[in-house]
Amino acid sequence: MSKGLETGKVMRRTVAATLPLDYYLYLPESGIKEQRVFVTIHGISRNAREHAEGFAVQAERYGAAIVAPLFPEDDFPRYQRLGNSVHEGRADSAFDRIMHDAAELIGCDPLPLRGFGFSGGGQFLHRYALFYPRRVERMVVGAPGWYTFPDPSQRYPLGLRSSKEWPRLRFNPVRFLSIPTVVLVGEEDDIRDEDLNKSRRIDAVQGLNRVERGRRWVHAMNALARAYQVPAQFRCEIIPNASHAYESYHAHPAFTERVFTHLFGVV
Amino acid sequence: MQMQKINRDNLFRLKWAYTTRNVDRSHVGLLLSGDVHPAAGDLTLARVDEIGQHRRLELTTSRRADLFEGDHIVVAFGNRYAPDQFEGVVPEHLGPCRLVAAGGVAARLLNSHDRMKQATRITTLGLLADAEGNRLNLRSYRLPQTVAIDSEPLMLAVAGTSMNAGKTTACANLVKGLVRRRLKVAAAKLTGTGAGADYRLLVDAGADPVYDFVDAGYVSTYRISRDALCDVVLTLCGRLTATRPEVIVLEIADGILQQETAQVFGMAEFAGRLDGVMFAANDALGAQAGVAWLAARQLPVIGVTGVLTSSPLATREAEAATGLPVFHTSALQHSNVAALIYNCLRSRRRILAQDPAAAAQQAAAGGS
Repeated sequence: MSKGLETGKVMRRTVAATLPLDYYLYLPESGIKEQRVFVTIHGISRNAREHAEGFAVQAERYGAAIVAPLFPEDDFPRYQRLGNSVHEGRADSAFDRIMHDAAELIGCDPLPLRGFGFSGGGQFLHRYALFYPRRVERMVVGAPGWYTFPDPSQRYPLGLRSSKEWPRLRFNPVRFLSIPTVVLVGEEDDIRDEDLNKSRRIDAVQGLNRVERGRRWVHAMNALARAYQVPAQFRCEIIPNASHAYESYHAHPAFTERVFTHLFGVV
Repeated sequence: MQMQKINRDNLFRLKWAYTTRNVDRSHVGLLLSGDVHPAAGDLTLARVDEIGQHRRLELTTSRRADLFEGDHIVVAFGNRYAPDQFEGVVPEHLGPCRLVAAGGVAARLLNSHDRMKQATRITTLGLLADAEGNRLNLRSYRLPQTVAIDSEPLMLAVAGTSMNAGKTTACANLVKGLVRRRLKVAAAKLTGTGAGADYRLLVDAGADPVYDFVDAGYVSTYRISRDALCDVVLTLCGRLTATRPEVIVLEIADGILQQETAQVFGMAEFAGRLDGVMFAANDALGAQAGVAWLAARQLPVIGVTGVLTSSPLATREAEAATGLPVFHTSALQHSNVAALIYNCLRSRRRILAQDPAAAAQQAAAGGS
């Protein structure tokens, strides 16, 4: 680990680039064990600092560094779907630069990723895993509003088919299906709130709320895994009493622990 | 038995049915009548007595020619299994019987679906024979079996709950999608009753070559012996493999509960070669039952398609009930959907290659 870095405290880092990139970093006072790095990706409230702070207790227990990238709205308005198009606002490229910077700084490479993404961050994370399945080791996807389904007849980001904005897409289902994935959705996150994408196509195919959508996506992934004859690695779990507010997930005592046990095993 | 010389000029004015498409008409010399006992595949000259359900006869070119009472046609004796139409068997004698399939099958009618009109009445006047009096049978015009070929194309079968479940459409769309992917695709309909529409659809979709059981010398596969069925399967699969395609798409007619269809899936020499089975169903419950039936026989079922996919709700139910991807029938012709299926087949082949235990299980598939 680089000397001079404070431990036990959330720090903001800026990666110097044409477009400066920010992220939050937490290094456990207990030190990093077994090269553990936990990456957490915010939702559209862009509360990256809260993400880093919210998992600090687990980071200490597990000896994991926390990296929480920030995707400002002005620069990455559509970070959830990895960018505006293949040429514009590519949040995945920015994410990779942040991971590279963090790796050099703390001496542990966050890739392949053990990551968590909440809401819009969950959208980003599962799409990142679809694009780059070799860069994701395990993931927890928290209540995304909608998903990219493994349906090659629907255009990305609804499905895997190329489009004018996203031409020549190639996916490797076998790799992606082998990523152990848990979708966490709040028990009370079945409300069609203002932030939920309510397009008719998504309602029709994915369901009317985040609970239905999460379950259907997990089912679709497991169905594809069965077709490919690879072990099903996708689960959907319900967080009791949680709504779509990020704090309501953290209010559930087992939430942060569940995220870490899936990513790093039981300590 | 009487033998009557046939005027060659008249022969070419007759309407020759699709089922006779491989017959060399120059072989015809005599008409056998009187006390003869027809067999499946025998060619017969028949007169149309009364138009019923089948108002047209599909010719060897697949043109559907209108029939008129008094017309003379050349069809084949055969057994017919069609739950939505007719069940018929080869009669014991010449004389009045029925046209039970538009492709040209003469049979004694046993059963018909309530919605069917009376089957078209015909009278079989005699069996066609060569100049020496030998009966002409489709078996004489079959493709020979091939010797073993050092090529193992991916092999996908399409099965279904029943006739009209969407199997043929699924096969054709899948062929189209794979061809759009620039893959060399061959196809065959292994079982059923001779009819040109299915065959032509596969040709039109871009499969090359395309065969059906008529090419193996059978007018239909209903009530043929297991050995004969095995002969059909091995002949057609062997011929297709010999052309070294990248993918072979095979349609297995009717429902999986149909006797010969079940037998085909029970053949280890066939089931063990399959890389995937796509199941076509009319509804979610049928899909669930079909997938369970196939899975119980350790057949590599990879997805569901068919008529049910016209309904998004039925599609969702089928996904939930089977735990498998459900592919909209028309989506199968998209090159990226076909690519996913192709990759799925390749992936399964790779897994088997790496896992001897799984390969042994697959080799034993079918026998349950």
